Amino acid sequence: MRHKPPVDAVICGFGATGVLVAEALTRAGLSVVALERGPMLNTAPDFQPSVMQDELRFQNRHGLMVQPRLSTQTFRHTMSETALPIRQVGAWQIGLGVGGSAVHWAGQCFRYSPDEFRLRSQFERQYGPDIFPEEMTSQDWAVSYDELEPYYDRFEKLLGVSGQAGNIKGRIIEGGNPFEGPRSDEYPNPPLARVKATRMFDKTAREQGLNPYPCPAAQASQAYTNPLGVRMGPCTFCGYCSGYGCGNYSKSSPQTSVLPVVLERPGLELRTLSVATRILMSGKGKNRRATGVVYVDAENQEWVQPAEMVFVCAFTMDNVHLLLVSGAGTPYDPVAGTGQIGRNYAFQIWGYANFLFKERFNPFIGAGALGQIVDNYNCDNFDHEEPLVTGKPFVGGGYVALFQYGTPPIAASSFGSGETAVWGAELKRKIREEYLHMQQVQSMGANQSYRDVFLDLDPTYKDRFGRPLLRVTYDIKPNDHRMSNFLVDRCVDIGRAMGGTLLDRNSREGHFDITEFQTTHNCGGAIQSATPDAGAVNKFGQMWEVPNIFVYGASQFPQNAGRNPTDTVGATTLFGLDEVTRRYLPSPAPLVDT
Amino acid sequence: MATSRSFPPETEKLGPRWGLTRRAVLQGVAFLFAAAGLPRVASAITRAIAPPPLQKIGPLEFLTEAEYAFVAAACARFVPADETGPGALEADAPRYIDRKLAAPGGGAAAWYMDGPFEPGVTTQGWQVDLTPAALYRQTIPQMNDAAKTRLGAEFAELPANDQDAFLMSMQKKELDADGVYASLLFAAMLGDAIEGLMSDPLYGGNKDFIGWKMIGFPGTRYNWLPWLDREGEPIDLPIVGMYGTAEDYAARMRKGTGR
Repeated sequence: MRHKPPVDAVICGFGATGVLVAEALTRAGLSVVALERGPMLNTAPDFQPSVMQDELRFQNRHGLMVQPRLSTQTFRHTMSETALPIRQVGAWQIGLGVGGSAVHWAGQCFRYSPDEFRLRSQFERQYGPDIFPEEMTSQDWAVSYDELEPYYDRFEKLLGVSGQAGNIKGRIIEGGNPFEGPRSDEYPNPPLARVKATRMFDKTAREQGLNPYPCPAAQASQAYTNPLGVRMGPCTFCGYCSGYGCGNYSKSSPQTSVLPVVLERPGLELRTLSVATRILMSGKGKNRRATGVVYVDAENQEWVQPAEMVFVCAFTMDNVHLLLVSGAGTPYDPVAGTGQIGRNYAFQIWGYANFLFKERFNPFIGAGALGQIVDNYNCDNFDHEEPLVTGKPFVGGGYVALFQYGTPPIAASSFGSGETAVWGAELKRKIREEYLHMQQVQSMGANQSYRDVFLDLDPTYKDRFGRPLLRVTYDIKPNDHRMSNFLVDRCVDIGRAMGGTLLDRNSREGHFDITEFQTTHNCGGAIQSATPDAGAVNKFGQMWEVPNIFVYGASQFPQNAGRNPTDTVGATTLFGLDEVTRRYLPSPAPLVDT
Repeated sequence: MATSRSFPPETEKLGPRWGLTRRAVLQGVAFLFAAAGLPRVASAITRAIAPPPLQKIGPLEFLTEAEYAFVAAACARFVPADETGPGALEADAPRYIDRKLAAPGGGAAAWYMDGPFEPGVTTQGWQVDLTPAALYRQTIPQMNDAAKTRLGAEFAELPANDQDAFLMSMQKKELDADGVYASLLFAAMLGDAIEGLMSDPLYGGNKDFIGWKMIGFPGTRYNWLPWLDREGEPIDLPIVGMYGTAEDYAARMRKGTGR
């Protein structure tokens, strides 16, 4: 293998977290190589409206996504089932190319509430330890909301988030979310405009005694210049948002927040179409260190990139995969209960109820985060015992919301699947009558972690480099079914009170279905923890077992919250990087004593 | 250290070798996969920054006449023409399907198709060692044989109510057998017919915006700000797609010049 000249740091993956790492390290004067498996993508020329407004290409054919041919996982529901490859893009959609999944995200940019970071102790204190089934491994985070708050603030200002504060330094503000943790400042931009459907939701929710507020949106509501001097323009609600790149410089992404600055920094070399296949390791025990990364470039040439520090910044699954194939950290063994890499994998329980209204909407007008939210049923914002919750109480919760993303025509013409797929005269009737009159009330439900839900290496199937595929063992458990049913019941209450006729509901009954797109909110597998026996990384993202490897992204989350993850991905990364530049760079060592 | 700018040289160099073939452009495949020979090559990906060009409808590209008759008959039942207007057949959905199946990899260029293949459970997704093109090719004759046995004629020759009953049998897995993936073909055809009815006309279907008129979609517009406050009132603008109005598409197609 040929060697490249050594650098201070190598970044594996140049998406939401990778660009933040590059910005912080080049600002500190380091030499940095960033490896990105996909192509360069930029607002011009890749995201022009005349290119992007193509539902077939970018939704049905996944034009901006990692396709299984390039990288995939195997999937099984239980440890006794045989995992089979995910052959087509399915339940989640991982972005390919510079910017990663932060190119095609919807832009719903929520902070987690303070209780999310102390989930286990909060629910134990409130309801007793028995609320946690024996197999549930959800735990407190290592970091607290108060520690993260300045970094949430900074990330939201980089992204130009449009929103309405609900709590500034303890002062509750009407129209915002009264359940949110105290903020040090307002959102950098005022909330997005509303449309008829979001006004109806807001009015009904208020009549029900709930506290609706506008979704914090990573779409600029006005012209904006971020602290790095990168500019955004106001959103025009074209409706091609989630699943697409934004050609209008309106949706926040690495391209509209950090990339223009960081690409000019002399310390950075970005190598696209370059796949990091393995982290090189040396030493044993306390002397275990990474010495660099092996990668394969566009010409199929294998290279060694020596580096003092390795930053693992790919998508959740790919972070865990790279650690496992490299022997970085100890793989999780669910039977013995040992090891950390692959533990506490979780997804998101996304439910919904669809309604038909007399009113006409224009559902093609929208933005990925144009919506109204209620947080009254999230986390521990409500009493999880009777009378509100009938039956056994559950851990977790979620928000209930109405979004008008911009519904495209192919998706709006598909009803049911398999034996229940609608066709014929009934399909034609639904196509003709429902599109302009339908709205969806949805729930973004938390997902707890479990002993037998995890990531490891598949024994059978290989990727194009001959590495074992990552194996996902996952199903929806009774606690999370109860939570989701409760949340979708609330969706039904609100939708009916808005005047809608219920068409159908989906709370994810039964087994997890890999074929049905849900969210790209996969998390865990390399989780943060206060002590080395409870996770893979410390609260700064530094591996307990290999102190010169830093792992950023939702792979740090010990379980998933009832919210979209990106704001917390950004905040935890900035929080970790601050400590890296302040303490690790002058004196490389574990940042938390073991 | 040296900085790679927005367009790393390797990307440009790859253009001719790995870049867009005309066929791939026509199919609207955003990122291509050089499947043969060099499976490890990361560069089997490239950026594709233009929409696929318009292509005049010509001879069938993949389906045989007999296969086309089957697909066309199914499309006519999936979204039928009736007193409210035309359906999926009239929108040229079968021509869209023909083009899709003619694409590199038979519509599965982007899929993971390494073995071993095991049936698994339905919630584990597609686990059959067939591309969509191979599924159509293998299953349509099997279905025509079944139609002759059960109803006395090939599917396309049956009266509409018999066609509906037959399609229902396919959907309900009644015709599935060892090596006969009737329900899989049903699901693939229905999904493809809806794509052909509702995708941008540049892909060969949605002729004259039949699909978008049917559903009430006003087309792909860049700026809806003026309509935000108008409380869902009808849009009094012509329907436009990636290449403009229906007249623009028709004119370009007549000339056959693509862009």
